[in-house]
Order: sequence, then C-alpha cells, then structure tokens
Amino acid sequence: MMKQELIFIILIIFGIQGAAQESAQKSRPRLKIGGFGGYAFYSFENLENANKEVISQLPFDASVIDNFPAQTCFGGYVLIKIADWYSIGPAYEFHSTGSRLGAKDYSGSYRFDQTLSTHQLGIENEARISGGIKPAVFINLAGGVNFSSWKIEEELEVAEEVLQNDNTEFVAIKPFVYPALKISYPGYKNLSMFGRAGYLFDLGGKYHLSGNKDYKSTQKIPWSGFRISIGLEFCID
Amino acid sequence: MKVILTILIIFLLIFSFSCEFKPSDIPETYVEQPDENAPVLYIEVQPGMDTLKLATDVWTEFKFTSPETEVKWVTITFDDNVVYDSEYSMQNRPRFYIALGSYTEGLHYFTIQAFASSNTGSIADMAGAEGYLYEVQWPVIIHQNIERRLHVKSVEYKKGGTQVTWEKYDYSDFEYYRLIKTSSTSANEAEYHITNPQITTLFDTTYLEGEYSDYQVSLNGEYGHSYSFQKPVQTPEIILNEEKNRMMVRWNRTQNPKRLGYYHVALKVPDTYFYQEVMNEDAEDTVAVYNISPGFGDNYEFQVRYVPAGFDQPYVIYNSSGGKAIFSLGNQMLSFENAMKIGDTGDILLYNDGLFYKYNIVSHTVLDSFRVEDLANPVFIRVSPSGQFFSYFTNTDFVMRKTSDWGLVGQFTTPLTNYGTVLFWSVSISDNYHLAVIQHSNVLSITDIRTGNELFRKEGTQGEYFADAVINSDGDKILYNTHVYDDWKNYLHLVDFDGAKFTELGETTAASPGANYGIVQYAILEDKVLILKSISGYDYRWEERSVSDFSLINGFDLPHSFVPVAIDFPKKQLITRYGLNGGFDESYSLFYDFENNTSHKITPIIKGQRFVLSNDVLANGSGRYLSLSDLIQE
Repeated sequence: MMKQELIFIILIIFGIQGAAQESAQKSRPRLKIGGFGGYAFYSFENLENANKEVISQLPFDASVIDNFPAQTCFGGYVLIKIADWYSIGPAYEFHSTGSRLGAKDYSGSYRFDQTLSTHQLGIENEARISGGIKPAVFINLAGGVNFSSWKIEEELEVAEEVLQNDNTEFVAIKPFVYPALKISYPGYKNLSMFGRAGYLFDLGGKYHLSGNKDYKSTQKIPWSGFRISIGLEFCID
Repeated sequence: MKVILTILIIFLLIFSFSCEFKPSDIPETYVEQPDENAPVLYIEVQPGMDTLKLATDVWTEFKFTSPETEVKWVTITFDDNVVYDSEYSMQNRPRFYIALGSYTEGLHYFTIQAFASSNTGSIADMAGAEGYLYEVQWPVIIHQNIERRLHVKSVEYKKGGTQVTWEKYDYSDFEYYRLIKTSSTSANEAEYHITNPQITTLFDTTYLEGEYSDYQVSLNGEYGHSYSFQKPVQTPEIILNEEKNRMMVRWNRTQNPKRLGYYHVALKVPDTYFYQEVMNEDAEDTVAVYNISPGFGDNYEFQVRYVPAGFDQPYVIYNSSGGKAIFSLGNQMLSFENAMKIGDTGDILLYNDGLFYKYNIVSHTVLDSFRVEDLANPVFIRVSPSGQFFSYFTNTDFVMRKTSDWGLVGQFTTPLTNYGTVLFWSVSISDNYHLAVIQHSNVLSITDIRTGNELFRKEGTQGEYFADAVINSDGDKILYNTHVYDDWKNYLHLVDFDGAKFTELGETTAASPGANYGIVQYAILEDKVLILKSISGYDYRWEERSVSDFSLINGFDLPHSFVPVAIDFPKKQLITRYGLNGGFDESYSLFYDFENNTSHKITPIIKGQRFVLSNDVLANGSGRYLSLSDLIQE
C-alpha cells in the first residue's frame, strides 16, 4: 500500500513539475507551494465498541489506554494559479490515530492495539473571496481519496513468553470531499502564513484484508471530522 | 524550483512515517503473587476405591474440589493412553468407561493431572498460564472371570453364636453382602446386610446348639454357595440311681440362653414306639428325671434338644444335631448279629459284620477271629452239638469249618441259597459231618458235608409238612417237626438214622401252627431230648424225654405269658421274659434252672435283641452282658 501511495504521489508531483517547466518555457507559471500542520478530530464509534467487546471477553481486567484521540496531522500542496483569485493543484495530508487497551502485572501483559492511518491525496481548489484586502480569505474545496490502513495487533505475554500474537491489517481506498476556509497573511517577500479550518466528509469505501480483496470487513470506519491547521505558503510568480 | 519540490517531498515522507499513531504505555497493576505452597485439592473418583479393583466393566468418574482454588484443566491417561484432556467444570466431569475385555489381567494405572488456578487474578492466572499442577496415580487391578457366587469359608461355633467367614469380593461393582442363615426351624432364621466389602466375618447371635443351619452369602442379590453347619449338642450324662429305679439325664447349659425356647428331652424306651419327654423352659435347669427301672437288652435312647424360642411346631419335627445318649444295663462286650455256645465250654462263637470271633464269656476276652467273605443270612449260622464245627451259608455255598482253627471242613455249592434268598426252613449240623435241612419243597434231606452228596431224602405228604429238624452230635438221631393240617397240630418225631432210612422212636404234639412257632426249640443230648415247646399262644412247656423211646421223663409248664429268651441246653437253664404286651412295663423276668429245679425273678429282659446264655452269663447282641448273679433280683 505504502509503495503504491508513494508512486502515486511522485507521479502527481513530477507531473506538476513537468507542467510547470512546460509553462515556464512558454510563460513562467505562478505557483503556490504550501506546507501545514494541524489537528484532526476523528470519531470511530464502531471501533470503540469493538474495544469494549474485546474487554468483555477477556478473562482478566483490562482498560482502555488510548481511545482514538485527536491527533496532529500535516500536509502540503502545490497550487497553480489559474487566475488571481483561483488556484488548483494537488494536495496531500497524512492522518493517524488509534487505540490501545491492555493490562499489565507481574505475570505478564496484554495489549490490543488498533492503528488507523491514511494518506489523503486529492485535488484542491482554492478561490479567493476577500478581494485585495489583507489578510486574504479563501474558500478551499478538496476532493480525492484516502489511502487508509487499519492495523490490529493483539499480544499476550506471560513470564516473558509471548503466548499469543496476532497481527492483522486491512486497507481501503476511501473517497472524500473536504471543504475549508483559509485565511492567509503575507509575511516576508513571497512567504505567507495561513490558517485553515474545515470538515472532511468521508464518502465510503470498504476495508479489506491486505493482500486479499475478497476478505472484506463489515466495519464502517469513516475519517470524517473537523480539521484545523496552520502553515506556510510560498508563492512563485 | 526543483530543489524546493524535492525538499517538500522528502519532508512529507519523513513526516508520514514518523507521525504515525504511537499508543501509550500500559501501566502495571499490582497483584499479589501466588503462594509457593499449593492449596489442597480433593480428587474424588467413582467408584470410590483407593485401588480400583474391577471384575466387570465400569464407568469411572473424576471430581475435583478445593476450597481455595479452581481446577481449570484435566488430563487423564490410562496406562499410556490419554483418555481425557479437556477443560474441567463441575457440570461436565471427566468420565471414562473401562471395558474389561480391552485390557489385560493385572495391574494398570490411571494418571490424573489437574491444573488449578493460582487464584491471584493475574493475567497469567486468568489466561490459564499460571497455577498449580497436581498429579496422582490411581491403581487399577483387572481380574477377568471372577466367581460371583461366593463361598462361605468357615463357620465356627463360639460362645453364644457362630462366627461366619466368607470370601471377599471387593471389586467395584460391589453393592452389598447379604448373609442368610436358614435353619432346620424357620423360627430361627437370620439375615444380615453388609455394605462394606472388607467385612467378611460376622458373628451370628441367633445360632443355637444342635440347630441344622445353612449359611449363604448373597452378593448384590446373587445367591452364593450354601454352607451347612451344625454344632451338635454335647452328649448328655445318664445316671442310674442305686435303687435302679430312676434315670437322671444331665446336660450342659446352652451358651445362647437368649435364643432358647426350652430344653426338650426325649427318651425312647426299647421295644416301644413313643417318646417319654421332659421340657424345661428355664435355661439353667439342665436335669431331667425318669422314674423307670431299666431292663436288660436293647438301648434306652435319650436325646436332649435345645429348641429355639419361637418354635411353635410339634417338638418331634425339630431336627436337632447331637445331644444323643444311650443307656443300657450290663457290661460292654462285642456286639453281635448271632452268637451261640461252643459245646460245653466257656467260649461262644460270635459273628458280626463279616467276622467270626471266639469269645470267652467267662474272662470276656476275644480269643481269636476270622474273616469270611459273602456270608449270607447270619441267622443260619450253626454250631455242631459238641462245638467242634460251625457252618454258614454264602451267596452260593454251604461252608463248614472247625471252631478250633477256622479250618475248612467242607464247602459245596447248594441250590438252597441264592444270593440272600434261602430255600429252606431250618438247618442243623452234626459232629459227623451231616447236614439236616428242611427245604421249602417239603423235603427233609441229610447231606454229607465233606462231599456235598445227599445221603437221605424224605418228602412230606399232602397234609403233612416238614417245619423244623435238629440232628444229634453223632448224626444218628434226628428230631423233626411236622405240621399236619388234618388235626391242625405240630408233631415232633424222634427218629434213628442209619445213613439210609429213618426208624421212628416216638412222637409228641407241639402247639398249633402260628403260636410262637418260631421259638420252639429242642436239643438232643446224650441221653435226653430237651424240648421247649409252645403249647398255646403265650404258653410254653419244658420237657425232658428219653432219647431211646421219646417217653416223657420230666415236664414243666412256664407261667402264662412268659416267653423264652435264651436257653443253655447243656446246663438246662432258661430265661424268659414277660411277653404279653410286647412293651416294657413288667417289673421282672424269670430264670429257670431245671437241673437244680430252681427259679428266680431277674431284671426285666427287653425284647428285640438276640441273646445267648452260656456259663451263667447272659449276653445280648447290642454288646452288653450281665452275669446271672447280677440279673437275679430275688
């Protein structure tokens, strides 16, 4: 999965680079290259219930240590300014969260981990709505797919001997749309800072066992949730 | 531009991998560690035996309990085969069926392993990876083809009851023993129920001495072999008082007085058909007295019985062992089936059970004995008048031997005897080897014993039948008895015999036939013929007649109802008994000495035995004797 994602990203980036070089030969293109980090909120109620189910079936007491917390995320984009008020280009974000339930005493330990990660890749449209005032205000609308993975790890260790160790990974390609509001403030030369807030709508897509598309999970695990981020943007005129 | 994009890509990739969600560490919870000493675990097995002994197929079951822990897993192997390996719960206990036919005879083992929780509540405990392992072996002994019908091994009488021991059956299918005592009286039966297979001895307090009992041990309701047991009542003591008119019976007190209903003493007086009985209900009262003057002859038979409480049937049907005693007057001597004087000596010839004895009746010693084969009808043993010879019949032959050294004088096969069946009425031998016989075919024959040749033969006629004959010592005089139907009389004839013919010397009448016909006796001495004849029913007459012309020399009528018992012809002595009732209620008998013309009352003589009178001693076939001096009362 990771390999496919990288190839996809590299192709997009080098495609954009090729397009930029071609434009430069004709007339120099105008690009906006940005990077950002932020905080994403998730709601995996199904998986939380699954954790409760696991706990109820354990012969010993265990507790939830982590429960799909809001996590930092990061991303970047390269937008081509089609007009002064409108840009379009590829965008990428990485999200990861998870849960752990477990127990530990003198005799051993038990853990049940679920890790969700996704490489969010899409085409972002950005339209300026603030005219010439500063700071500039944009409406962004991104659409694309989440290349998601769902790892489940269970391990029982007694007297330093692993009695049970199960690892399972599911993967899914999940389409999304992501509307957001962006406020940018010019800084030094072509560098500006921006802040962005939005809500990602997960449009579906089923998990299947990694390497075996026939074995599908019935769980719905949407990435939907609020996103807030801040970042730097470099404009090339 | 290219540089910026490259940096951006690298930057994204690094973040992508380094910012993946990392779960937090798990905090450790304090749990107390398990004790090194394992808690007590109870393993209950069914059948509940320390060593499982099997004689039949069986289901085994295993139960594990502990107040401190909980068994999680059980593994059971039989010999080297795992027969159970699973989680344990009280609702689903391990069970295993042992089919005997699948295993060899002898010793086997269950190995029982139980894994129990440490009960700490730790992860390892709850995951079943921490706990205590228990292991125990359960020996199994398999015996094929075990006999289930048990034997009683022994029954031993002890004070107050019997100790019964039987075979042990301690196999898994044991349920109970049932010891059953059946008795000759249903009033004293017993039954015991024993549920411990190790108990194979029991004391039966119901047993009463003399009881015929059968003990049997039933296994699980299946009947066993019967064991018969009786402890005979000890022989009681019979004491005659000095006046000889009272007999006292004394016996041992029962050792089980609680079971005693009463003592029963029965006396059967000889020649009677009823019992004189005494019953004592007091266990301490062990004496019975009979006011009876015992007579001489057969035995007085006593039996003391301990009749159990509850026995409500007639005493006579209570069959009891032991307690018997006999009493008879006189002194001990050889018993005999037949006996007679040997001439005029102090010896008598005794015959008993295939043996002839020469017995001196004065010193009461056995002088000699001789075994004979196939002797038939001892009643026809004869001694010649001088006592020199004696004769007898076998199944096929007539035999004559010397009394001095048992030497064979003559033996010949005769049609007169045929394996116990005789074809003659009387037989008499002389000292000159003559045999006089009255045959059933109404023939009086004289035979030479040495050759077996018949010397003379006289046939009876229609209306006159030979009945009896005796021959004298020299063989030249014969006294024979005929019955003449015309006048309904018996005639005694004395004849001379010269080897070829009879010459009549005289005759006299005897009683009519049927009047004590069998006991009329006669003897021919040198100069006299002695006759004891029946002149009517229960009337007898003693006569002495001349041997030359058969004329009467002397005669004596016996008192009415006194019948002859024994005669010593050479000494002219006669003992009679009162014979009217056939029972025993007279107080005396009579002794006559015709040589000295004296008579005496003597101790009553009991009917029913053969008597021989010789040398002033009266002996009877039961093996007792008394001298005349002891017999004479007055």
